[in-house]
Amino acid sequence: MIELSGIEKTYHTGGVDTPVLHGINISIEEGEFVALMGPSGTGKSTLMNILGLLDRPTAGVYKLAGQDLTKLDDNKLSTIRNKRVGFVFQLFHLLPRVSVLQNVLLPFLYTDPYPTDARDRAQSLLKGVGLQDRMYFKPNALSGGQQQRVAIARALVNEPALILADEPTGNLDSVASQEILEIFDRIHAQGRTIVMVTHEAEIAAHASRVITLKDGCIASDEKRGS
Amino acid sequence: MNLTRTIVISLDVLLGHKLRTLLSCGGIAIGVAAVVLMVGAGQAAEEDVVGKVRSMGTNLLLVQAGRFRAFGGRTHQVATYTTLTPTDARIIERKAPGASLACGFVQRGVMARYQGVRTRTSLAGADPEIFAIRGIAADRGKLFTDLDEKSMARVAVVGPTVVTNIFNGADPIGQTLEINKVLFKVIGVASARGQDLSGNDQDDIIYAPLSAAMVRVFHVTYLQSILVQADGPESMQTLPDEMTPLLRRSHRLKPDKDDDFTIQDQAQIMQSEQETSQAFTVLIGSVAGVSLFTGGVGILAVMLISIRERTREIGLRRALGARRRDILYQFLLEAGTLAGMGGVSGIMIGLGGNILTCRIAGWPVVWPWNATLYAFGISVAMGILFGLYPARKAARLEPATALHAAG
Repeated sequence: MIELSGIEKTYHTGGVDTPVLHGINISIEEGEFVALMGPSGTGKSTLMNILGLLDRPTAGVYKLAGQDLTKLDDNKLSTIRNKRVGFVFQLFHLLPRVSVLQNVLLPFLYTDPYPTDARDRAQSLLKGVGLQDRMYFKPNALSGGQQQRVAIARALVNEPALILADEPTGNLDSVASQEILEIFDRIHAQGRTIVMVTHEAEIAAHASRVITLKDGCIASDEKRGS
Repeated sequence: MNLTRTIVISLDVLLGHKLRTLLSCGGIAIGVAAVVLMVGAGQAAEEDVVGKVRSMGTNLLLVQAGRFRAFGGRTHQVATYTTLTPTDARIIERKAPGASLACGFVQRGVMARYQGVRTRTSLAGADPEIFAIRGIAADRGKLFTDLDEKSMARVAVVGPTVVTNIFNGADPIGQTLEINKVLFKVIGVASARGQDLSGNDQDDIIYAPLSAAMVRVFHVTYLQSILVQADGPESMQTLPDEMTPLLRRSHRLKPDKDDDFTIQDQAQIMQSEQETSQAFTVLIGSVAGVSLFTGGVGILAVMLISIRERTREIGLRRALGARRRDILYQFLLEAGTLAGMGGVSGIMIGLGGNILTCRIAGWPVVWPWNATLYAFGISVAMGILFGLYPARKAARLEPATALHAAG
């Protein structure tokens, strides 16, 4: 489903070139749950940004479901992000001034045409993460774990094929982390492809495959029978 | 992207930041209010001048006894002559081709006494044509006629202010009024004329036949002025040249002597006043326009702060599928909404203030519709113009950078 070949990324800041990724080749099948590990500064976030179409590689080819994305313009990439990729961030990234339900509906703002069952879908997803009685709360009134569940509902609302999670439990205590990971397990069981950045081995243990980066290269790539 | 959904989102954001929204709206509101108020007041003042010009009578020339010189924007009498007589008025009426009416006129302050109470007012002795020239009708009773003029009748038509001041608002018709110790019978009440250009009350006046006023009250044989009505706007240009030789001959002036009278075109004087007030309207309107611009700069500042603060939100929206265009529109719409809200409140403040100003100044209330529409249009345009730079800045943010920005 995902094919990365020879992905390189170099940042140019102040006339200095900083190479971050050196020729990454990864192929991820549909339905895989991949944990992306490695020490800080090894290019995990950069790789996630490229996977999520938030950033373009300096060189290499990224194919999603057979389609080469490296040549597409910004508008097309935006549409793909909207329909095929769901993001879960470490800092939740909820809009503080609108309700939980509005937050989940946010991706539809950029979906054309607006689905007629948008509200039903958002509500049933919130129900799925156990927040049916918090729909009209503002995010600030929720605990960290609850906020992250809202973010997961938002990531799923447009039924994307790929879920990208950047340290989704990084800001949560162990109980909340456990709940979040259970939800990811459930999403995985439904057949969605998940790529999750994490530092912790026990979180990576939920994944079906663990890729470790080191200095912008793949250091190890292990699949497990799950 | 759906427009109504975008509006809802931006309203949510604006209402979420009440104080900041209020402040930036405030700048625009003050600007718009200033434009509406200033232009409204200016137009009302103009309208007022126009109204007063009409109340003076149209196509009117004034022949004054004596010489006048203009300085400091007003005319001042520099000499008085006793040569202008009622005969001159008849000569003008008969012999000047462009003159349709000529009315001898004398007006002075007098002491009026009624039921033992003495009140200072003014008496105008005039031919009955004065009523036609000044557009005066009888509110009650009747006006005096040529017959009263010929018979030197001691009859008086009083202005509304006189009714209030001297008769305490009671019906004065048939009452006897003592003017400088001469008894007059009140036969009518004149319709109201309001204030003149200098703010003098034109209704604090008693009209009497010219002959009665000259002979019985003022004891003079000469006129103060002759009001001449031209038979059309074209005659206004030729009439002075027609009247001058007639009057010089009547006054037996030798060719080397100066005129002992001055012909003034009242409308011209007032036209220049009107032009002054128009220029004033434009001037204060532009000053107000500058404050509108300042309001626009306020929006620019607020939008820049807002974008800096919401960099991560922009990143998030991009991640969720917003195109650059969607972000641009969102912020433009926000700026436009800010300016629009400021504009609407400014219009309300301005119109409210306008009504108040006109009430206090005693001007007719004029709705400055043009200025209102312009001010609103300009304020929204300001919002969009000053919102454009911040919005483009927001739209150009790289999603990955914006998303992981600090703050």
